[in-house]
Amino acid sequence: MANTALEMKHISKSFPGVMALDDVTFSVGEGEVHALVGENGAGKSTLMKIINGVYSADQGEIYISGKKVSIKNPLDAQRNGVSIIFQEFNLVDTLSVAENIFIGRLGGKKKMIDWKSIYKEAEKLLKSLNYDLDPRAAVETLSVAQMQMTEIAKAMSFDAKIIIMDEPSAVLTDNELKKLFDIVEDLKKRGITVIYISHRLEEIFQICDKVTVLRDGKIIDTGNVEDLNKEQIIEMMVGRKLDQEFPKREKKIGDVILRAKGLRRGDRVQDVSFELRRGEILGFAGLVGAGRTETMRLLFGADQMTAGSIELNGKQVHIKSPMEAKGEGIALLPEDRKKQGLLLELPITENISLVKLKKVMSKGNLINKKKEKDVAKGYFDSLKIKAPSVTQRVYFLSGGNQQKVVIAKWLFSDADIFILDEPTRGIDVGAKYEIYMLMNELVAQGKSIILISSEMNEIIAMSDRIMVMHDGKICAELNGEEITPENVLKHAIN
Amino acid sequence: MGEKTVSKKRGKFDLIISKYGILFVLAAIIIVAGIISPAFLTGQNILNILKQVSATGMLAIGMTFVIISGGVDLSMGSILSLCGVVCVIMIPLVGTPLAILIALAVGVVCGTLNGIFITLTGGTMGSAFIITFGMATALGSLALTVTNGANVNAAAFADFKEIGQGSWGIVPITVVIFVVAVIAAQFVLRKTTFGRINYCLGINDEATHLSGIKVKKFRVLVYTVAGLFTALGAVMLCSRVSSASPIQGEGYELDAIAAVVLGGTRMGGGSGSAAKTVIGVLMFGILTNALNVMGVSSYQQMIVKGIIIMVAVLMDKRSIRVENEMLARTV
Repeated sequence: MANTALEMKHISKSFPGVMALDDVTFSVGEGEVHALVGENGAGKSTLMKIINGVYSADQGEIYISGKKVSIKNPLDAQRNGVSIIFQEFNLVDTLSVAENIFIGRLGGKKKMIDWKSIYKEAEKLLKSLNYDLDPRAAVETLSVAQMQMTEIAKAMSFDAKIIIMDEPSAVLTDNELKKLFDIVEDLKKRGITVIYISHRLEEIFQICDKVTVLRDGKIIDTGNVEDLNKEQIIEMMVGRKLDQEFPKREKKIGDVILRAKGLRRGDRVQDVSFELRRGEILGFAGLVGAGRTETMRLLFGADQMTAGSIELNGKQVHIKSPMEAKGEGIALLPEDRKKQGLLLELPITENISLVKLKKVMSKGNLINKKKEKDVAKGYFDSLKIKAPSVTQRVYFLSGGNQQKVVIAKWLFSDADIFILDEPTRGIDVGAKYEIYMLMNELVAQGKSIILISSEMNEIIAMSDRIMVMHDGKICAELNGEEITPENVLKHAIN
Repeated sequence: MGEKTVSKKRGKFDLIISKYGILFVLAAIIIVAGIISPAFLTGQNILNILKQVSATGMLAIGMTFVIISGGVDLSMGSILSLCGVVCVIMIPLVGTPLAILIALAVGVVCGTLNGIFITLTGGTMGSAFIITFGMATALGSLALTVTNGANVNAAAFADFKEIGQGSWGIVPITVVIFVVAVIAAQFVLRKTTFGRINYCLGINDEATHLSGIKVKKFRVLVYTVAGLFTALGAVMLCSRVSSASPIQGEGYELDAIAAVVLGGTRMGGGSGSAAKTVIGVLMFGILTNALNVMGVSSYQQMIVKGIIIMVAVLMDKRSIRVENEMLARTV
């Protein structure tokens, strides 16, 4: 093997309640294309953010080209020749390619910008990379692949030796994917090291030399791609038994309560059909961007479907707004609870009562603060919300308690169908268990739950049935014995 | 332990200062003005101040609704001018009561149009700024077109003038109207669905929408209410000065914003109250009056007012911080 480009030794990093990385040792050779794979939450992004200086490790050392370095911020990373290209590009849409490449360095040491030389340098750089790109074109007019080229040109302008690509293919079409592979191939020829993070295992077999599997913050193994097959990699990614982190429940599944037929919206949701039964937890698995959230927004009336129909209790309904969804007994606990689920500046009381103000009014349609408080107190006790008082602003609550307030709010609206979109994201282990208990209680009361989760364990342990989505379509329905991590992953990455 | 109590006391002190600081400033102005000029603290002068502020006060109440919802209304001045001229022009044609109703209807329609356009363009502070600015330009010109640029005299309409110039006992009628309006606004904000949702709009539009609330309907309503309060202010003002001018309202929207912010309602929305706005309105009125009584020229008055508005915003920023620290401590 050639020289090592990057070596990370005994890296550990913990966040409150989570050990994100546990004694990770990882090395990448010069000019190598090295895949980094693992489930959501395995620690890939944390590791990359440490290389890039966004986070600093609690312990451990980083060596670049054999030299020990200290990377405290992204600028340090840049100086050491490390560049990261995020899935969401770091480009300013309205500026030109050249401006984006040299952003932050436009003036050089002078106060005035020398546009001529900027465009000339950009052109030279793009030419040397063989990219057919006009340095004067505005980024917003580019294709995704061209934006990727711009990002890479930017990295190369910093003289990057190591380029990290975070899910570069997630947003690409097949044609663009081919171009991406060419770009990676070309970088390799230039002796650049590429760390390639992807969920799509087949890509790894196409372009990567080595693969490292991360799981629960630990390195499971590193191996040559040619010595491995897909099944082996999946096994390493999943490879653990489900333990007692999930409470058991008795299943009491009843009749079909909701039937969605051929839901469609653009190409994000294509012909999605499924049934939900009373007392059932129906899991929706898939990669980020598979169309799960989009499908649920159609059910909830937050977006309008272009085709398809919904039946509730055998009766066709037309849900055109969240208000109508609420009226039909559907609740949505959105993915981003701080931005979409809660009014952070309002107290717990007012967050709960908002969905049905009528229920806390006295005669003459006036809000009765005492009633409002009593209602909140009821949920405070039954859901074990931890806060100094019911009038505490939800801003100051922990993630788990905030999520409980969202659940309380929809319980108060008398919903029968709860759509939970990533209900335990960013919540620590103990609070997660409580949320699972609440979910069990809900279904025990005959309510139904649709659970979207990117955490494999969670969705497998909690769901009675799982629909797997890929590219806006349902590609598998898993029942009973078929519900295994391997199966879910196989269908999700298709 | 001892240290902790001290800091807690200090925190409480900070909180009181930041929460009620504006009242101390108000008291200080009254005392200083009273010492400098004995004429200031006479009953007559105080009633005068109240009479002067009540028309601006109506606009400020309307603006309170708008600012709490996370918006702003720059068209209030033009709506005031238009409602004023429409009202006075209509009096000889249909009589005072009907003319006033027509003026109020004009205000409601203009406000509703604001609301509809703002909602259509996303409902953000940015769209409110641009839409109401456009509206201000258009309606201001409309008022000028209607009167051909001239003033409309209302001196001949005794029943109309009674509103702005008459009194019940010693209390001017406009003051009574203002007080009733404040109480009604405070009540609506605290006790009704519309009031509650008004705050929610200013805090988080999207979360409110996803709670199954008809966000758009309520946002339009906010501007309708603002239009109504502006029209009421127009009637009160024209009646007090016995005439309507097509440029009468110029700058009133800024005074209204200043009063709201001075009272401690946050630009950007989500908090505030009508009661706070009253303090802001009074402060503005008292300051103007005190400066007049002290013989400060109107140019220099603008300098003082400008500085006070900026200081008020700084104080408010501090109060948010102190309040958050206090609350965080209780967790």
